[in-house]
Amino acid sequence: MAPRCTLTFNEGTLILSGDPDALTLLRDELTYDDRIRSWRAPAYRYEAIMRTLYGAGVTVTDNARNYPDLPLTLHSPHKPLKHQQYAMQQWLTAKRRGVVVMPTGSGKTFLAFLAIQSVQRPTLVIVPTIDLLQQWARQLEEAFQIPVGMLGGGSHDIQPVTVSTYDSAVLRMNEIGNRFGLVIFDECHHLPGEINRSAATLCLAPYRLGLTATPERNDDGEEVLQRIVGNIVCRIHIDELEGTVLSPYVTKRIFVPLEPDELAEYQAARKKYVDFVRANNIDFQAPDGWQRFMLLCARMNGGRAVLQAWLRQREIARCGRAKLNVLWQIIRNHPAERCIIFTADNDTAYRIGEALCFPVLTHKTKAAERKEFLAKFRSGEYNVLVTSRVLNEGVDVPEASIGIVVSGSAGTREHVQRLGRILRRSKEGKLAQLFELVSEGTSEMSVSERRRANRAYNRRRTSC
Amino acid sequence: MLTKDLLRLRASGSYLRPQFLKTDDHELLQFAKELIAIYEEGIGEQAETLDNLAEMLVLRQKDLKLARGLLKVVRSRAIFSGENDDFPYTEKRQEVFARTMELLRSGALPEDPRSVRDHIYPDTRLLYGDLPENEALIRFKKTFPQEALERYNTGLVQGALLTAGALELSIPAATPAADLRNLFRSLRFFRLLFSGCIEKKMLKLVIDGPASILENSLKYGLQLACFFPAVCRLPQWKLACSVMKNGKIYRLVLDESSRLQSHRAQFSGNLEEHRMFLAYFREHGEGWKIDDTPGYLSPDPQRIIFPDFQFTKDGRTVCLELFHRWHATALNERLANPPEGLIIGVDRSLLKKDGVLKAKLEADPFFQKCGFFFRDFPGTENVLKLLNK
Repeated sequence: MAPRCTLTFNEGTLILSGDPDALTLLRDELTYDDRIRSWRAPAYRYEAIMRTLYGAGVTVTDNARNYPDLPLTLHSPHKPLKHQQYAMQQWLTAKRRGVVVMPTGSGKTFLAFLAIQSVQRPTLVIVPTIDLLQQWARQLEEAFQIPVGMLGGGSHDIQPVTVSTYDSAVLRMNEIGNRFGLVIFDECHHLPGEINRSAATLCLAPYRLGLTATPERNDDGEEVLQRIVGNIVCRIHIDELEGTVLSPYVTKRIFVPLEPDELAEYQAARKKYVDFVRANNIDFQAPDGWQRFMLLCARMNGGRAVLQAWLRQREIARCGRAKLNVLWQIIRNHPAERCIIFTADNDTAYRIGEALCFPVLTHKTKAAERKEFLAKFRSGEYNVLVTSRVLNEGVDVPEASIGIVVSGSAGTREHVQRLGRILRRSKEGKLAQLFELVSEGTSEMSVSERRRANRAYNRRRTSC
Repeated sequence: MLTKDLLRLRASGSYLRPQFLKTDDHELLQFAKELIAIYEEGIGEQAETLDNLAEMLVLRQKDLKLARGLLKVVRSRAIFSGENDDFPYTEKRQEVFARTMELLRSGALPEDPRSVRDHIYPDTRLLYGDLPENEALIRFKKTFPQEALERYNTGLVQGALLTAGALELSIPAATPAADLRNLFRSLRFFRLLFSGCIEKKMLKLVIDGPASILENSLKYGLQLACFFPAVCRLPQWKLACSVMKNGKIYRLVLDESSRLQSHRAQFSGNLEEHRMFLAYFREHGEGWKIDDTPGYLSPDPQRIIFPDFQFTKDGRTVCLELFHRWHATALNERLANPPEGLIIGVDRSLLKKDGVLKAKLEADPFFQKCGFFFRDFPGTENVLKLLNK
């Protein structure tokens, strides 16, 4: 008689019981839990465990899975493009588990629809922001003509197809982790974080799709992603789709000399700050470097002036008067085109917004106004939108053709994401332009070099 | 609780020692008093104004981290409004931006960006005057300097516990039942599991979460931190755990001599229903005596069960344990190893989305003999039916 095994889903884990012959097959997967006198395994190992048990001819009572098959039909006038067909094929070959890397605007959402249709199971889509939550829910409803649930942003509705934020998924996955056969992680580079990863590990869904334009991380995140979602099964670069799926584009780096008085002020402020850092052996590469700097500024005589100096030199580098002039000229030269202005920080964004009377969208913007700004930008009523980081990824901004990076971090991910915001192909003849304004003779020069280290910038750099 | 950047924890060998504040320290009490005064007397003022005042006070302190931590504790008592004044900022922005876009498209805006603002919106009032830093203080929850220091100390430990995977708690086995009950109610409310035993008159518990033995141990840090104030209410306790600081693991060991306080209200869930059930049962209990603060059961040295009620009649004693919406794990454990002398009640909301558990209960011999379903709180009839069996 075949050995038997029973699986139950419990608080984001699996509890197993059964014949020793069956449990021995899983010795690497199981941990004995003294508290309940049973064997336990992480929920995300469900697919591997079932494969092992069935492969060995074990009779399995599966009380863990709590979802039926779900017949779904995709109602869409679009046919998959070549690169989407290719990505889909690669994912299917990987047994429907893996990460697809595709540029923003190249149709990752439609790829997800194809995956949902192929799997025919209840599906959970996990997204990083509330804007994306609403966007995905709307698009899924149109695509599959069924009600779609939402978790997060005040919503608590679970349906066979549900969209959730990462935050809500982390909070609820121990309860709902056995109710979906497919889980899709949008912007999955967010997933490997210590907290976020439980959205994947507490879920038993055997089929998993990770979507991202920028999978790279500085930590062990890529390994974690591989373990809890799957390998990268397909990687398509911006330049491979340029001119076909994505708009042709150019990037223009503009070195902006500071005005003489601001240059003098910048140099004086920077000297004050750098002299202080050197005199006190402050190393910003050390984990407590920044904290030490702040403490010394607070305690030492003249420390407050050093802090003010640091702030002022940063403010000038990020958006001195000369940069504002250049920014303004670019906007005036493209009055009919939709333009996103990116800054490194909220203060700069609001200074630009106040000076030029532009709508500014940051994390401080209230939900109703945020919705209004995006809707008016989408419709063309607003030609310009200023933002710090919140539009770096996620939000669907279909028609922008000009991006102006007034300031930003040294990270390549942010810079590639910002480029992605303007590449959505909309009308014939569109040429997307990304302007990068760099204050000449300031620390921004090295920051700019570091963030452009991506092949998307290799072939078409121009500097003025 | 305090965030990572505000934690003052000193490494001493392999141990981590929280740098508690002396709650009778005159200077600290004075500082706390001044911070409280800024917000207490600042009703109607802008957040940025009050925060700048507080910041100036903070920067004069010797220990900046301590000062910022105390500020966080005090400021958490402040409630701010969404708008500082009646000016319709949103509508004004709509009007201004519509004008900006119209002038931009028609090329009617000046070349010099410094003139743009006056051309479109010649007003000194900020376009974005309603940002959070401009919100007004509408209420400040009463607090006292000593209480602020006490909250700081508890918050310090809670902040450290965010990186804990599990808590090891030792309590005298003779701790009053009411105190233990509150502790275990908190445990269940925060969906934590425990394994325990009684050793040399001490109750020894290891508290963590269901997946703690696998991985994801950081998932329960927040729950452990939220649970911790319930420990502070015990007359005698000792707590140990492993926590992380700067990538290294240390031991954190505390006991009641740290004099940490819980300022959270007693955990009470279902208080009104509990009182009604007690009153009704006392009247209609058919001779059964009810006690709502029974001690714990220990069917074997490795297990500790906290029933909600104890009933006695004619020398017989039966305990009742109730399982509410968040008790699925504990219920499964009870079904796996039901002790003698226990009946259980299961809230139907626990089964709402779990068809498997419902089927399991209906087929379980222990539940068929000693269990019943209820909604929100049990009825006397169901309980008596089982008691009289």
